[in-house]
Amino acid sequence: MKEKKRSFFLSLFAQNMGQQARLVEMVTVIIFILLILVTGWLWQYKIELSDVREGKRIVIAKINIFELLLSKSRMGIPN
Amino acid sequence: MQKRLSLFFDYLKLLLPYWDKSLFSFLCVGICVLLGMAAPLLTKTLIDYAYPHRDVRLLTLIILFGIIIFLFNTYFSYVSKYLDVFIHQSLSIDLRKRFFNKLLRLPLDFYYENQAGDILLRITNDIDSIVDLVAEIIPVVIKNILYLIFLLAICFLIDRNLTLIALIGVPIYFIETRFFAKTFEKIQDNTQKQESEVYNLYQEKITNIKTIKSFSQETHETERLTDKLANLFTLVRENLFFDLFNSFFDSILLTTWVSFLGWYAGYRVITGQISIGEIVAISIYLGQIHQPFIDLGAVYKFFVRSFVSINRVNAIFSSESEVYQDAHTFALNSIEGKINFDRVSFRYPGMDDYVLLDISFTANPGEITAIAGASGAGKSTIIDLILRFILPTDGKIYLDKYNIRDISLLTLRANISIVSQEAVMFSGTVRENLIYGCVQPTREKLIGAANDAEIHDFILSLPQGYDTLIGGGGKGLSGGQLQRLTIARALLCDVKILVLDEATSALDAVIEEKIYENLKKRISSKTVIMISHRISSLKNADKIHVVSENRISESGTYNELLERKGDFYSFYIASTKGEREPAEEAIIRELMAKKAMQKEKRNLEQLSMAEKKVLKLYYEEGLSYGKIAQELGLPAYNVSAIRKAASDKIERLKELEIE
Repeated sequence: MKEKKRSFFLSLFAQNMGQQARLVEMVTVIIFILLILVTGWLWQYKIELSDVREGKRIVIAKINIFELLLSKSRMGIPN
Repeated sequence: MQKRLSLFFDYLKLLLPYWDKSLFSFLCVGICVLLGMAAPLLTKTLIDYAYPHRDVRLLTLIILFGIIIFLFNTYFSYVSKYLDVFIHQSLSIDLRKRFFNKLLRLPLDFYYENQAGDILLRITNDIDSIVDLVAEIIPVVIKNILYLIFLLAICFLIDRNLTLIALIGVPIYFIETRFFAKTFEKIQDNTQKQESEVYNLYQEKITNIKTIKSFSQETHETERLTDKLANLFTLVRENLFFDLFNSFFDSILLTTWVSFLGWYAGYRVITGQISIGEIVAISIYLGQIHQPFIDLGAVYKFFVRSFVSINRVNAIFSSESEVYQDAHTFALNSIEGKINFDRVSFRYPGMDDYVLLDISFTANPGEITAIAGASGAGKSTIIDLILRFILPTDGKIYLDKYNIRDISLLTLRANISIVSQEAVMFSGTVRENLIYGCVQPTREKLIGAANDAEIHDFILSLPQGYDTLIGGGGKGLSGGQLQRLTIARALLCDVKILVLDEATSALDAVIEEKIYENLKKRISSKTVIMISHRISSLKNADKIHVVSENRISESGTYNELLERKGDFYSFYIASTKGEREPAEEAIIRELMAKKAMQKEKRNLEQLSMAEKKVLKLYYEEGLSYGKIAQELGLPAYNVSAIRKAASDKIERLKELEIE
């Protein structure tokens, strides 16, 4: 395992820095696309805000996470 | 300020080759800033919705969302750091290369006017400072501006009044930063100058360590350094004092500002204008709002300080370089090598006295032309003129039929090989040093040049022969060995003009004579210009021009000049007078002694018949003098005398053998 780790780091340092940077950029583009997909999915995912009233849990609002984070609240109910 | 900005933008252009990576890095920074905004909003949501409504599902979702944000934030911040380091390092290499290239192309005047320590400081500290500024200022500014925009936007969304009040402190902070930045610039300027002096001192003392040691001045020099360091320390203290003073003002300003905001935020909660979750979130945001201002203020101070470095480096970049080849000069690919000085005079700019006055002479191919004269007569200035390190104040210098002003520097210097007074070797192998400036020579040529410089045997005696490493400046080699290596280097570059500037000053007469003999075989079509004040060297010249009181006072062959009994004759007398024994005479004396000894040996070896017989009978047969006298028919006292003379001869022979 130690040897594998060593050879992994050695191969990282042996790489040309320009090529390595290009590789990092490519991976980052993929991660960036992933971030956009996650954001899109979160945008359409509605969270149900509920409250326990008279012993029952009732849904008081359906809202996505971004709206929830940026909403002004009054007495615990988003405007 | 406009001039400064335009200068700064000039340096910013260095980022252009890395625009894609810079853009990528800025994008990553933007994403990080945006993701970093989420944490207080998540706290607000927990306080305002999840906890009051005991909503475990929402709690779980928010925590998961927080983890996703953290992972993305970490990744993008690492990528941004990686790219920043890449850009920083690449920029550093680019700028150092450009600066070094510029330095090498500056005329010699620049090196006469500037001290090496100061140049070194510019190449290290100043370049580092500029690279830090150019590589870091944009990411930091972008990051902080984005941070500020997002921060204020969210704060505006949560509570507009509180945000507007928070912004009141901004102009006060800027005024304070600007005030301190000016003081810092002044201190920085003085610090750089002082540091430059310290560097100069280090450089001067280390290169002249032998002199210091020989005069036992180690303690004195340390004291001198201590004085300089004390001055530097005073400036560093001054800098520290202002830094602390600045931080103190920053702290007072921020504490007052944040305290007031805290009070006002509390008031708005109590009066029911905002929720507890919102006050928690906005407090976190406003607690962070000072950071971009502090960072931007630090960038501004750094920007102002770095201008000291930018100005120092720019002074070199804007200096005029030597023009190696342009439309006004032409390339000389093949030359005969005839050099003609036509009424050349030279004086240094701003000086009244001429170093050389009305100098005219011709150096023909296939001849050794010597310039003789006392030290300081201006002999080496002639070499500087030929190599166009300096230009004549009056008169013209021709190479073949061309004025050397019209020849491209590149081809002019490519046709000249020089062995200078200071034998310089660079760190590397002997081979690397010998082929310095030559187009890959063959092994035979390399060895031939070393042989002609009488250094081949010495090189072979080194541990790795031609591949032995020699230190910078040729450490570990004697002056004579260094000089012979430089002669080999000059001979190896098979060019038309060979300049020997006191090239054999560290060699003994025997080696010098051998080298000149070898040289004469090589120079059938070369022009050799020799600068020397050694009589033993001047003897080898075909023509000698004597420089006296900045003019050529007489010219001729060695014998002609001696017969003329002019300046050269006086110079000859002065050079040989007072010397305990000229080297040539010592050699002649030694040779004569050897001859005498051999003659004596031959005489001693020739024993007469009588002597041989006496010795044989006396030593081998053990006969007495009387019996030997009877045998040989000689008187007994004669036998005794013959035996004694023969024995003495044998003893003397033994002594001579030992000698």
